[in-house]
Amino acid sequence: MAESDFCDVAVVGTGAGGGILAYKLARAGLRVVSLEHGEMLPEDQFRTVMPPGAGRDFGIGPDTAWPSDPHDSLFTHPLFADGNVGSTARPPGGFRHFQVLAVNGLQNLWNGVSVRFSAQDFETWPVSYRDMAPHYDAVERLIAVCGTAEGIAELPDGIYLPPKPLRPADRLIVNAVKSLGEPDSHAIPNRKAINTKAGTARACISTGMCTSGCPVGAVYKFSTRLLPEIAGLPNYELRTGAKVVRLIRDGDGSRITEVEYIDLRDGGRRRLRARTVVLAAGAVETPRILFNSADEADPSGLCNRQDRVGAGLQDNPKVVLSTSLLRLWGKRRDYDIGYGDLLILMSQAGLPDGSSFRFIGHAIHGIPDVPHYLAGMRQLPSFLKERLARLMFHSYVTLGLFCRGDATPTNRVRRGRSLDVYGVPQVEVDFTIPASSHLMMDAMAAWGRRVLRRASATSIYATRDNSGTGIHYAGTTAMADDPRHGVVDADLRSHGIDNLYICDGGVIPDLPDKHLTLSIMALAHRLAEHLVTEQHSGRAGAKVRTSSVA
Amino acid sequence: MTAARAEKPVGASEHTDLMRGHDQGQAEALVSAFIGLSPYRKAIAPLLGDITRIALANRQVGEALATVERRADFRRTGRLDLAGLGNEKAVILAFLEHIRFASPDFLRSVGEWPLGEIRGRV
Repeated sequence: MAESDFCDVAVVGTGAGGGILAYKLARAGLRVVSLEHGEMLPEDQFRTVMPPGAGRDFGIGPDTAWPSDPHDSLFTHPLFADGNVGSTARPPGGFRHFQVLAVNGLQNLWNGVSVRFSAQDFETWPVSYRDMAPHYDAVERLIAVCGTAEGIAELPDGIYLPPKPLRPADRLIVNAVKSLGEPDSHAIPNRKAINTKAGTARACISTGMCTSGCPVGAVYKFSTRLLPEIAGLPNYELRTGAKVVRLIRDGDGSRITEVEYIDLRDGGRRRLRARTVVLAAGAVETPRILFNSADEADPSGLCNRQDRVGAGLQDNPKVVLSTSLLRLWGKRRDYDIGYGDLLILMSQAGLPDGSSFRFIGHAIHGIPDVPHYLAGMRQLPSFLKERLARLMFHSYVTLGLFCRGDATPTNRVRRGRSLDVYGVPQVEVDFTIPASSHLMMDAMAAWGRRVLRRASATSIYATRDNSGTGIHYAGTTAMADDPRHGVVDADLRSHGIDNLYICDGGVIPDLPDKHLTLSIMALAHRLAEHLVTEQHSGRAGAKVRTSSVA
Repeated sequence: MTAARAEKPVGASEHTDLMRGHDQGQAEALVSAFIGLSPYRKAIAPLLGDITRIALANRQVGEALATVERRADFRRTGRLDLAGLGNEKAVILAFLEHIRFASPDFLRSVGEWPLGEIRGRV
């Protein structure tokens, strides 16, 4: 549709939540404008501009450094926003907030893991698994998820395409997990939003990794799957280069009337009027917008009278263990490498206080064309390195294991003192790793070592982190029936402002061990149905003055 | 659509200006001298043009090259030795080693070249 100054729903962000919302709302006939800070990446972004692995310049970019931590290689991608343009100034040593300022947001580099939260995971939420199940179904159909039904209560089954076949490294891990003889330990085919149907458009071409962007768009993202279906509709507009700064309320403060944004093409400030506004900008950027929307009535930011905005930031604590499996030494590859991490691992472990916790993760086996393994060969003479590197080339396996976040009140996003290059106040993040997270990381690392040793591990390189590199940010605008405990209600409507909704990781009150993206998308699907009903009933527009609107 | 005008275009690489004043030939002569100090010199020497371009675009390596060049007065002497690499030795040799193990020649030797064409083949 032509650029409009009014819409039924303004959706801020085009990532996991924003993409599903825009699609569903536009298809339902509502006038929708998606406001996106970034631009559309070129169609060949991950094929020729930034191909994964060593496909360009041997995998060396301007910021590649030596020596480097092999487990940090995922986090140096040039698409990640720096402190000049991001939500935070990214001070060294602090919480590392990752965001991609482009259409699709973080989903440009999404690994695609798509698992449902379990009934138990929803126990502290104002919605249940039963409420969410039909929306998980619908999203899985929309985005196409590969996997297998396993009948594990802690990991509800969904609707799946066939996964890629397991490889020798996967079978070693599966057998190792089975050999533990633990009823709660599982190694099953991964569930990923990947089109595995060979011969179809955007089918997976087996690059062996997904986290550097998919060259063919086989991993779901809004721009390749759903946007094409709504881009030509007269009631939908994707407005890129639109950096949202703040929300503006009407006289009595009960409704948002306008979204103010900077048009990055000319630096000018613009306003978009909307009946309903949905913030789907992420668990750090959304609080920033709320803080920056402070007005006379709410000087500490919108929806923040209870000091809940930004509080309870969580990310999944993780351990990463890499090794070379002796049983794979000297093997040449005669199998499909697939999408890298073909296995989900699950288990539970005990803590010193007698309690137990669940964890989940994946086993990764790819082609080490970018030779991160050299860090482990530092002491060897060069002639030996070449021989060993060939011998071990197809033997590397990495386990990444994640446990629940802890909603510690002092871990939070708060108003910052720095400004980005556009002059907009940034936020700061206070984050200390809770003691309980350290204990869980200890236990996960011990389990991972047991599995790897049973699979013929040689030397194991292990790291752990809970300072933002899980990139599963949650909790900062939590869902709660009681406004004293959260920022939005069970319908994702903000407490106190009738036509403001939030739909990103921030609404998740308690982050379970499982990857959160599919749940954000299911929440978006549910919210879309709610908004369509609301708009059709006329409730959303009841207080919006539209007489001068085309 | 195009990249946001107010920001660095997505994916743009920045050439370090630490090597300002070099023409391509001078830059390649310097990098060639570094390659000569690498244990992988035979294998990577044919990649000189690419290595020079990538080295100059990488902040850490570009800075290390410039530092060593100044210290060794390479423009005048045209000579480098391992001892003269100083603190930059580890970075420069690691960079060249990375190139060797990510090179088509090495990846071919393990059955993985060309990239992206045979990964799905069973």
